[in-house]
Amino acid sequence: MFTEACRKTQRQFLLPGLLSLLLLPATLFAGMQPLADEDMSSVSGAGIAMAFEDFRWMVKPTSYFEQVGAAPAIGATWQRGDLRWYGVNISGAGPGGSHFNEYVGGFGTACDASLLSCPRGGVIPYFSAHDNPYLLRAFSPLGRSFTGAQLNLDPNNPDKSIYEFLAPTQQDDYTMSFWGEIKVDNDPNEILKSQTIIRGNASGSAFRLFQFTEPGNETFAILYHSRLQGDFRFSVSHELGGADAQGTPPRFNDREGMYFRNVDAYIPLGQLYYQALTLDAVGVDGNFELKVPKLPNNSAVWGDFYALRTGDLAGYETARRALSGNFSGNNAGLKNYDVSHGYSHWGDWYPNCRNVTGNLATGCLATGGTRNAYNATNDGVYFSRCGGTPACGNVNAYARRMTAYNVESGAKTFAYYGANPHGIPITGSGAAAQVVTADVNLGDSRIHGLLINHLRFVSCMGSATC
Amino acid sequence: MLIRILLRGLMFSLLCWHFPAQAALPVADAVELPIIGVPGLDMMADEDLGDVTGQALFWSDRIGGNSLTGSITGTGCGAGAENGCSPTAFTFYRMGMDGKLELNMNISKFQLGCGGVNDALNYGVGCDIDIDYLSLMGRTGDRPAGYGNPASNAGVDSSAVLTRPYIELAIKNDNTSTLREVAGIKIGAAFVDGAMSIGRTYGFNERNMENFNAGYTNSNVGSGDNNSPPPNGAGHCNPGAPFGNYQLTCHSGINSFSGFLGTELSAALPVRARVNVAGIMIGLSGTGCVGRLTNPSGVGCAGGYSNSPLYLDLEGTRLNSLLLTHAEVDFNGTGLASIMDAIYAQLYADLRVLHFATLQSGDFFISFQRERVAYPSAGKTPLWSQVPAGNPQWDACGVGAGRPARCNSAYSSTTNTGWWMNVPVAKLRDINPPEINFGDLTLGEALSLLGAPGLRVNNARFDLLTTKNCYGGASAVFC
Repeated sequence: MFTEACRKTQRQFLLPGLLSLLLLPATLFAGMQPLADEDMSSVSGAGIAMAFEDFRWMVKPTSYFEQVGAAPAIGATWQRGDLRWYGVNISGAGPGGSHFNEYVGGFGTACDASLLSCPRGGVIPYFSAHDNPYLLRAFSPLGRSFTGAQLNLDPNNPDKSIYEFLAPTQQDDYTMSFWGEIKVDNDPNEILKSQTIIRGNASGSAFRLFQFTEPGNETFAILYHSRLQGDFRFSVSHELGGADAQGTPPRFNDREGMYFRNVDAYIPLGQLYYQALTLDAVGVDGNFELKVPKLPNNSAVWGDFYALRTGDLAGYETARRALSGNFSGNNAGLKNYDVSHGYSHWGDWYPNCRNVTGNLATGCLATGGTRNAYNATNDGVYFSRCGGTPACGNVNAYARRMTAYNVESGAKTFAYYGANPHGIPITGSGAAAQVVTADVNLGDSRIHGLLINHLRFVSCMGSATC
Repeated sequence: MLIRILLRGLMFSLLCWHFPAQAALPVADAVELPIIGVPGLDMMADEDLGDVTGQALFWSDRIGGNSLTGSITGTGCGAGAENGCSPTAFTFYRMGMDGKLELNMNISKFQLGCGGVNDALNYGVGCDIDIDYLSLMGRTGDRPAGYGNPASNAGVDSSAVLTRPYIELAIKNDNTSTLREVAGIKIGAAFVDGAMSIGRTYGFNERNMENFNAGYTNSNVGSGDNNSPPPNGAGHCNPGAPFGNYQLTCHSGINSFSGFLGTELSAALPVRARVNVAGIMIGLSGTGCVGRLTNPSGVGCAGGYSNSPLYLDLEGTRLNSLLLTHAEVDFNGTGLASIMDAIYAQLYADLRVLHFATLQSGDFFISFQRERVAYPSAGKTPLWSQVPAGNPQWDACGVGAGRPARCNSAYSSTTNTGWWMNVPVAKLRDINPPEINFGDLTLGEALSLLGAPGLRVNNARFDLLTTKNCYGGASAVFC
């Protein structure tokens, strides 16, 4: 939509500028032909597609970016914290890779990047294929404003436009990794080095910028719908020893760490155009707030947001059916349920209900998936001890359940690890019962039907009260 | 000059296309644009840059093994050793943000730690933490905001507040890089203030869709009126049932919980029964009072009732119910009750009947670990010293002599392997349901009231409510 002022401005500046280009020596533009006005009027910009094949982005393991800390204002509970992220890379998840311990003439100890023991891989064949690229574009999608009005009903006469950066709908798994340092109190003797490896992809993610539609708050708005699938590993053990000198990349142990396997997550922050992440200053001390404002109490808006099944007034049945993916029946609003409600799954086995006696009985089983063994390393959340020579000792897993509480004396009665139908080997008995193992699997997890009504983070820097 | 003109033109074209209102502002004539062509920006001199200081948002801390009061490691860490007990002296690294997070959200299914090593805790539920229909919101007193008022939007308009959130790593063998291991991770805050609404309640004869089971019987003490199955039988709700499985079927919510709950409990339970004494039915009616009540006289607990707080330290992995024994309950009433000053009761409650929890705690966290870990408390000082001044009834550590031993430790209650939630201050106060009619009791059942451990009651009707956390009419509860 061009206003008269816009047209005037264009005449004042754009056209003279373009015309001036024409006066430059032709040798500067060898191979280019001038466009006539008629040609220019038929050009419309929609976006930029980015196709990356055989792609890798890698920096030297000694390269970093840093969050520099400062002494806190509130005394001895906390200290200054400096965080560094070194050697960030996005690379392949196939065979062929290297560790962070680069040396003169080499990339570091060789390893297999198809395993979570290896932080850096080769190229990514189809990071974003030519027929499924990353896309940066201006667009005018349908949506609902903060006041409940529908926007962009007429695609030929849009009310509002946005900028969006879209990930491919499908992409190869890749490795994203870095190694880091946590430095406490600016003390070189209080540094913890760690390695983070993510192997998967973020296909389907969307990042959008638009003008917020809340009356009186038409500010810069961000929407981010994050989709992640893959595996995650965090570790701290070094393979070759040596001092923890700041800035020196270690060769991390192949085995040790905390793992999240088979992660599938969707976290929506904001909804077009009625809910968004906004920024603002707070006070005069340099503090800020980042918030998703409260939803308006407007039935058209929250009708879209909640996306309840027709006839479901309380909301429970919509949530229960969505859990099992059962959207049969009246689905007028349900197409938006999966957009406004997030989830995060780590693994694939979850009981669907529990009967009154507390046991998982027929008809109450988990839907699909595999219940993890106590030492499984292919699914869910687990910890592994370090390997190599000398290897770390096995882990002593221990848990107990309180079965009775004596109110008069405060004494508690417990049940412990014991004979179980899953064949988990127990060492010791009674209160001393443990499971001794090199790998401890904590099981699978899911957070489903996540709806963020509102959130706000406000910094308290420089203030003793928060 | 040429570039300046061209870039200015391109910039305005883009503005006109997407933000026509802004582009229409009369800027161009008045401003001599810099080479980068962005109106309204001026170059900063070095002196100006020198005046700019960035404030650090992140803090950190390192807490060495055995460095805090109350640490217990190695062979001292056997059964019965509580706070501060870790088999190995871990080093803890914290990274926190100097800020405050306010949050309101709903989660329809919250399951952590399903399967895995804690299946060795033998039969029962499959997850460390398993909660249906969880809402996080603000609070009013000891209740979620808007509690008890179906038409109120106070819940959805409120927020739970986490002050200075942080992540903490438990590191084993921190001094030897080749043996160094991550043993656990904790996500906490210096202070949490808010409430959770949990689960779902059903109406008469409605089928429980989360916990359907057929074929169980409803056995319990006494005959109790309204304790008969609803028309459609097992799996269907009878909210009028004073106790038992037909009452339990009206609830879904916490299927299992792993963690520590520093709970303050208070209740005024009106009860009625008839005792069969040699064939003669003698009435018994009164109110059992326990804990610190906000208005004791208003709920039948007058006449010298002590109104002292009752604190319960509840902990464990994969809890699905609570059994409180040896509970001495003040009893005010008529008939046989008139000669009873106090009775003893055993209260068994499936966790699904609990529909809210308020959080007002300085050491709230959720963690997962591969072995037992005693994390340092948020304040790193003995827990009794973290009780807010002038508020001795804050929790069990606020009282003077007689407080639990754990209050002398700077460590939180020791976690188990698996997922764990630490809630040092959880208020479950002023439970006051309608009259519980036990029906006809035998003499033996009545006599059990007079001595510990007491008469056992399963799944008594507490009438705890869920809280609406959505906009919409009075029927809209969860979204």
